[in-house]
Amino acid sequence: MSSLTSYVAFILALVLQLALLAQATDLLAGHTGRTGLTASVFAGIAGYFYALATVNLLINPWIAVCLALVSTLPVSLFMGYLLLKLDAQGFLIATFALQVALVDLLRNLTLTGGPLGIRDVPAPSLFVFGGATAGSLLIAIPGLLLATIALTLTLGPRSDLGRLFHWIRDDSKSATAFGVHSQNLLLSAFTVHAIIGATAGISFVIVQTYVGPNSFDLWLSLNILAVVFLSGTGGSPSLMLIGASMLVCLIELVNFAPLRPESVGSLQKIIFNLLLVGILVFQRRGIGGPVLEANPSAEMAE
Amino acid sequence: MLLQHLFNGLLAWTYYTLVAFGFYFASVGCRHFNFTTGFGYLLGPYIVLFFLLHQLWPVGIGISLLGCAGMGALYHSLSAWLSKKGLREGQLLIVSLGIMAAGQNGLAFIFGSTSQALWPFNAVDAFYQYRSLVITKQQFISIVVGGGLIVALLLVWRKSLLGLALRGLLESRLNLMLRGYNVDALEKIISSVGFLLVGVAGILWASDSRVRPSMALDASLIGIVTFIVGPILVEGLWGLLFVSFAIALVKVLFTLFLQGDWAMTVPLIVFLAALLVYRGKLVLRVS
Repeated sequence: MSSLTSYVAFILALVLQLALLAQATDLLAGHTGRTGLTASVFAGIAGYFYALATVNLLINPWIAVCLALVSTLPVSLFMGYLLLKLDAQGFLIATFALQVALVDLLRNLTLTGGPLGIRDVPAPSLFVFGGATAGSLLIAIPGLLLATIALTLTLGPRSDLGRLFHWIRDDSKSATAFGVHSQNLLLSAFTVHAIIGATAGISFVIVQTYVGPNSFDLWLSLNILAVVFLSGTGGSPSLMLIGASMLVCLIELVNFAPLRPESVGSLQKIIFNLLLVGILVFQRRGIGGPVLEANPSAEMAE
Repeated sequence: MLLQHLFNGLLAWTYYTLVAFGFYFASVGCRHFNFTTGFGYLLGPYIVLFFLLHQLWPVGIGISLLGCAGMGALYHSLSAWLSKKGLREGQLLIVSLGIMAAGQNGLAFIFGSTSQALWPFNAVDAFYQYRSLVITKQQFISIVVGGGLIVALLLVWRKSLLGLALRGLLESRLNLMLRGYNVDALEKIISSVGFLLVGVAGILWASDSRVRPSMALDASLIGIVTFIVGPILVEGLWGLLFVSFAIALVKVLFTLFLQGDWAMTVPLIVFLAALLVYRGKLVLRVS
């Protein structure tokens, strides 16, 4: 592969991973009203699981992919059970705590390679498609297609399940009063969100051939939020691909800025954090998000 | 060594409590959990560092405290404006998170992301020594200033006019408005006090160890855990004090039995334990 082709393929993998993570986040944020940072947490858990399985246990990469996805299920059920009891505000700050502390935990555990992480992570291959980027795309492309189709069908205007999710998001009190099992529905959404995030995490580790504590840090979560709000939270899942493409293009543009190499990272982060704030302040609907009316029951109670 | 570990735990308890109080006040003042307070925690020590580099650190302390209080008032005005524009709590939270992260990276851009010393005197400056216990001057100042502030807030705050107004604000904002209080100004003052407290905590913590941009995350984590778990135990400042104690205690146990820096894992353990035990009782008082 020429260097230009491999660069384009790498960027494509990055866009797809970010779109997957944004879809996972928006399933909770835009459709059930629980904005959180857990997508990158599950991406980290699955990514580490894949790396440990392939590097330490020498398991076949395809089997490791399946095991890593399955491993997120019990974790997501446990975390969902604990976190979904919190209100929307509590959920966001609790997931922030989880994200920050997970990075610290991974940095300290010898099993996960400590601060150095795990290197030389092998990639899965299929027929002529081999290597890190191709292996990563083999996970990310079908993952994104499946997630987009499933989420579009589930959350669309004709879907009963989608209507229930939106009912919980817009007015959880009346939904509960009418006998909707909010906690069970939220838990199911949380589990699907975890699996989508995990798919992106595995793809992320494969393309980097490395996983470390900083691979899934707060910076990634803020980028995901920026994509979600840029694309339009609560809108069509396919819009996340556009938001992710725009953000990755911006990241690459800043990379070419004539700056000291050590300043580029900080500048990127400043720009994207301000972009996130700017979208929320001036263009809350993003590119194509719906207008969300908040909590009529709460307003009536006031 | 046990004595030294216990003293370090006491010191950590002081810092955590100050941070918890700061986040609590700032969040009550702004009516949503306020991540920007984490930036206030950085702003204090970095302003001092700027003046320290120009040999003007005593002036720097005063200016940094003023800067933190000003930041609190400024953020309050911003959040009030954004609320009027129709931003919901969750969106305000993300705005505050974005501002904190942008501020943190801005400081990393200006001062570099590596840690720097904030103590203007000799690096090892023992104030008191007893067997294996060594208390440095920085630590002594931290205990006196931090502990003094905490005791004053616990004992005097509730009886002061501002403390009474804060309680009134938590009970019913509308009631306070009807009684003729300028609620907006009151919230602004409370928010400034919160930022001031985290600023003091940041300066004390950084002078004891070193100042680095990623400190904001440590402080935010402590702020979150104490803010959520505190009200489960006791309403108000005492609850925050107890959770800070639990975090400091688990930290001491980790340092005694495990290697490595578990500073951010410890609050998570306290947090998860509290979520498991009190799952049915969690209520965010401010919201």
